[in-house]
Amino acid sequence: MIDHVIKKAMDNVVFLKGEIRERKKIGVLYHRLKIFLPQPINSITPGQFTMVMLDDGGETVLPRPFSFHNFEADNKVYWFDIIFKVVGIGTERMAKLPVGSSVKILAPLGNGFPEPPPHSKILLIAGGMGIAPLFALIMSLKTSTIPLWLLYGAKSQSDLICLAELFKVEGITIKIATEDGTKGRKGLVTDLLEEQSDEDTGQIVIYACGPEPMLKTVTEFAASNKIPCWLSLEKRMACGLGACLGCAVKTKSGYQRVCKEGPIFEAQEIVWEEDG
Amino acid sequence: MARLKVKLGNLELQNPVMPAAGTFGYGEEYSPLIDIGKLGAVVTKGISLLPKAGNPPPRICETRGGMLNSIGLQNVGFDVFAKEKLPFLLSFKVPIIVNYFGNTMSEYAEGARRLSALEGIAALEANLSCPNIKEGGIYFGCEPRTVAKITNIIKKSTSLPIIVKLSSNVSDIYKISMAAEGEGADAISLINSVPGMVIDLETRRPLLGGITGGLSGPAIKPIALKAVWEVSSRTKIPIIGIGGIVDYRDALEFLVVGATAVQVGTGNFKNPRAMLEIIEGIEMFLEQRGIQDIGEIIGSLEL
Repeated sequence: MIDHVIKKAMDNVVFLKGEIRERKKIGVLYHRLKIFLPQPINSITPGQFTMVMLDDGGETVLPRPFSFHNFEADNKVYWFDIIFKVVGIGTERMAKLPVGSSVKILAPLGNGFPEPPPHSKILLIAGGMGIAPLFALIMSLKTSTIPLWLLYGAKSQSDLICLAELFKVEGITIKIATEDGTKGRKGLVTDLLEEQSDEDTGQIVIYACGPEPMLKTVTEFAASNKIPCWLSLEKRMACGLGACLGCAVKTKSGYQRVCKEGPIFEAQEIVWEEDG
Repeated sequence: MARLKVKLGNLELQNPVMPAAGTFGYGEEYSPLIDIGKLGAVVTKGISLLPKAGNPPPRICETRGGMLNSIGLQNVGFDVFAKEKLPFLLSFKVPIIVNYFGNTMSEYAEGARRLSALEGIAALEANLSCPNIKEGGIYFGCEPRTVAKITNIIKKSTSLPIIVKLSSNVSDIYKISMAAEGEGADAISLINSVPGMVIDLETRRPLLGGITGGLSGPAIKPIALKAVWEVSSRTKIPIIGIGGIVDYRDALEFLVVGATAVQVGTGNFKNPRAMLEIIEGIEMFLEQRGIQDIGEIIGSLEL
């Protein structure tokens, strides 16, 4: 067994009023917000997330969870990026937040991705918005010597975001799949796994994030090839702190909180629901 | 400084603001963010004798003005609570109110007995009204006779103050509250979340794993205010108002209709400092109006 050290969320969580410094539309459906903080967060690990509270007179009742997509690579973090797709009233409002406006944030939350074991290769598998936390992980490994493969899938070419930045990462191998075939291989990102298996010449670790059916397939692939595999899961959340038990996911050791024990889970621990 | 102290029977609180069960975990989850010692009391996540797994996900969903939950009373059970959760809570100098429930009448008695044997608990809040649990098709809190019987056996099993938490989803909340009062309940918490449902039009499926859930948040405040008013104007025991409180004005409205204290639930999620801001807001409100004691506000509704 590989001796992974799961970086436990420390009690360095803060509740702060951040300022939107940049808002960028990516393609038709996606948005990126850069949020500056009045005081720094003590280090963020890729895979951790933040809750965003909108000052909207009560139109939204709950905060919204977002993975850190990018952040200041320092022990004192004064800014971070989140990316999102407009899916409801919360994200719709966020897409219109003017630069200079403020949002309350609760961060950092949850556990980050465990560090890869020495001399390993990393296989990242992203489906759609699942690129968000994996992008942060890739950026943190940018200067390391660890070989990186990224399998990136989406519905269509316009759903592939941050590609330009990803291609700039030295030594990364990127393979793309789109469901409509507008870029890369036509099909699902998990179809790319077939091409992957015979490149296995050393220790591989998988980090994946995306829709549940994709994660389920990745989990099966990892199990049959005996590859350690970490998943970043997403669930609707209320508190983000482990108090409300709203974001439960079924695991081999019972229900666990995505916000507290997760959002990163060892793939083989997850008990998948019948129809994803 | 205005006096914020209130009394729930013999239990004195430094102010009337506490979390609603299930929204504040066992205190430790929020402790990095707020000074728990400033609260009027802490109400724990509901405890049962044995651990409970809870309902299948998805468990929550935002709705207009509120949220639905179908947590299903997941909890660590009595033993883990006693050993791992309670000691932390007792390190704060505020009353600890343990919310608990049973699956049968005798479990309510047994729970009260075992919790009373633990050192340091200030009061018990018996949940007779979770919308997500139906043992044998019965909500315990629906009928005056059942509520009277449970209150009676709980009171016989403990000397701790007993708060009975009721649902507004009944034919006559006043009669049910009277039943609890008649059997010696020391206070009544009103209201629990309101049964509701959300579906996805595209898939035509419920959005909650438990199919239905409990509605909470600002959407239910008027329902809760009415229930508190109806009961408090006709009972002698104190009422704890719960339902959609997100700021100090909400809290004060509950006091005006007759609540002696309030619980904040869903409001904690979007603002982890909500309870502290409510306490500060109440104090400011009283001072601005030259009101010396919060008691002057309680039940001051003009008709």
